[in-house]
Amino acid sequence: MKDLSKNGLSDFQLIALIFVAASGTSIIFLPRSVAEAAGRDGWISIVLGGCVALAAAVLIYYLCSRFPRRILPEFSMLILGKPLGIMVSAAYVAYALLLGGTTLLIFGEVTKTWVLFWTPQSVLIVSMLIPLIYITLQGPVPLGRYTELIFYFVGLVVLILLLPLPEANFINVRPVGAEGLAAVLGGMGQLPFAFLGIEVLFIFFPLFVNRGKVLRLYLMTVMLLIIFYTGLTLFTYASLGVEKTILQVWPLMSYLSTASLQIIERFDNIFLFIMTAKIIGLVAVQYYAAAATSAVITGGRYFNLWILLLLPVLYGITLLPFSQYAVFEFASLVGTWGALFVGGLVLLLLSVTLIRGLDEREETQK
Amino acid sequence: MIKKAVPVLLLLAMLISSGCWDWRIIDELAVIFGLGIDMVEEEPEQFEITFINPIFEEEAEEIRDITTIRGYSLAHALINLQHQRQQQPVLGKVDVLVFAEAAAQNGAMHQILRQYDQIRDKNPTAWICIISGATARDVINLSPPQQPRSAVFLANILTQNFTEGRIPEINAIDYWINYSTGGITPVIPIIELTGPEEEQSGILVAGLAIIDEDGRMKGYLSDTETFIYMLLTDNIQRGRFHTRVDYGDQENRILTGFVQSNVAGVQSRIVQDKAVINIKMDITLTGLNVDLLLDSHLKEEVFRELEQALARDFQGNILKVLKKSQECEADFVGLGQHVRIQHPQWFRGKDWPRAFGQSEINVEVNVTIKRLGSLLNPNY
Repeated sequence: MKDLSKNGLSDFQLIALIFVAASGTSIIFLPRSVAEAAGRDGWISIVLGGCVALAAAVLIYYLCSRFPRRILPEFSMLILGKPLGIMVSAAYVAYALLLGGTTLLIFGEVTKTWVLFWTPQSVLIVSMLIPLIYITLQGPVPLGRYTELIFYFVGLVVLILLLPLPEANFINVRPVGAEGLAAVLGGMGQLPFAFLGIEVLFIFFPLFVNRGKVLRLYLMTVMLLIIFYTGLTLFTYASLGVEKTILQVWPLMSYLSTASLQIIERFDNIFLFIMTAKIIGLVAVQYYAAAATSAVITGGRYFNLWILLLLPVLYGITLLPFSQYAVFEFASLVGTWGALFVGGLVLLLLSVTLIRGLDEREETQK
Repeated sequence: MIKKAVPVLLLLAMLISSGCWDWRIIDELAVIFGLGIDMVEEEPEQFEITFINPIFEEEAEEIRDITTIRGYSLAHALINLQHQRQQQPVLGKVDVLVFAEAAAQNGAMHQILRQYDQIRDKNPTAWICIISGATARDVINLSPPQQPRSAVFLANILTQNFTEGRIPEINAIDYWINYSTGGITPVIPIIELTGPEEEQSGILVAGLAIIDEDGRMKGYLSDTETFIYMLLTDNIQRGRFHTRVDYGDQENRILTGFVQSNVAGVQSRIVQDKAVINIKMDITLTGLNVDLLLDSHLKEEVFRELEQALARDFQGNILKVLKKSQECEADFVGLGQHVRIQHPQWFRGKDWPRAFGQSEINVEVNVTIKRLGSLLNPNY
């Protein structure tokens, strides 16, 4: 058996890492946000949005695969030249921190609303940041192992999410397609925040042991994500009804609260408990991406220093908006601009790569 | 150094993660099991809320504590309750909310349920019911011999009735789901007290209250009509029924049995801006006990004739229930959901309760009897 701890990340760790990095807090409110725009066809918006994410994933893979031994800041400096490459990489650092910070912010909000009403937000965040920093300092392989562990717990989450299903009535999602194409497309506007995170391939691609299978596994993970989001949205609509879903700030939590067993009364609390570990995983992946990029900008050194230096920035982001509505506005802003940034970055880098004919695949094989 | 510091920091994080700010000592909590909500006659804007919670202290003489508090809202009553309690009242374990009929009729129940829905620390799956012929306080004050905690007793009765297919499961969240969803309105179980006037100690489920679009009780379904409601909404799970049918020259014979399955199909069309709804039901019955004089029931003609008699009986009762539903302009069966699916453009923006009241509804029932009782001639 190969010693993967030294060589890099395994196939399963690839799936776990991408899944954990992309599936964050958005699922807790996604059924509502897509229903507000697309009504009972919100789940179709997710499927279509997922297809866009799949297309983006293909482009991201295509770009990364041309530079198999380089991560984003390295190949962006190669493609665009040093000054422009540094600017792009710095923007990516800001983006990764914003995405991680916003996820922490939303998770803090839901935890405070649902279970720890009087606990200060800062305490919740700091208690998550401590293990996060520890994991990130260990490097990418332990991080991959951690996401692998989380991925098993996600299986438990899926089981928990199926428990309220006896209450479901799929009449609530019919008629399919009646809201019209415009509404469905409008619903897609709510999705960027849900699919952001798949671009961490920029940073982790060189670490995968089995690079020949990356595309297949990567696309499989994005499809898994689409099924996860679509399934949960359908279950929520079927159980609560679309009209009731639209009334909920956290529809998934309300969906979970409809079920109870003799031995477990509050599935919503168990879900939040498992989600805590998952959110730490997501933010850790983004934080590692930010620190690794910063380290490359500063000549491939000071990774540990950057881990500590970026911490106040990440923490600062979680303190940005002061009220609940501002949190959602901020998340929507991060989602939209994040998607534009990632999309623009991939297209820019890919087109310049093709124009300049840059390709290190053969060189690597030699 | 850092390798030693990190575990220490992690341990500290675990201490913090336990949620010091939200700690609550269970001994200092008054865990409320049930709420009874009545109107105050002399002050229509006020509610009288009766709380019941168990007492766990060894030195206590009673095993339950019942307090009646007045307030302008549920939260207000809870605040007033706190003024006279040594423990903090919490609603996370509430099993049941009982409303007086007057509160259900004037919309106060709807108002309280809205307030309950907004309370963070609540049990969303708590049963709700309406007491007829007594006050909610009477229900909470009951001391049934089987289970002195009246709220637990009532929740058990409602759960048992649901398990046996006699009533739908209507809890606080179900109420809001049915209320919020277009094309369906909620129903709520009605209970009554049993026993002699001064010594009432039992509870029975008497039927279902019909709630309109404004959250007011507009009427009720009797015990028999509740069975039809369960049938129409495909909620019937091993539901037991009782009726009388004519068989040849044997008139008005008692018949009981179980519903094995029910497949209901609803088709609708729009004729001159009016919904025409056709309901087709295929009901399979089993375990029928029938008070008939027969030489043997193992004959096709016995089965066919009973099936036809039961189909007529069911059809008549179904039409009666639907007529009541239309008169109340409360589509508790949820036919509007089928119309919404089949004619989304027409349904959009329609005042469905009004349109439902003017709809034409046709019902076709087919009954299949799987098996009769074990006696070939029941009236031997």
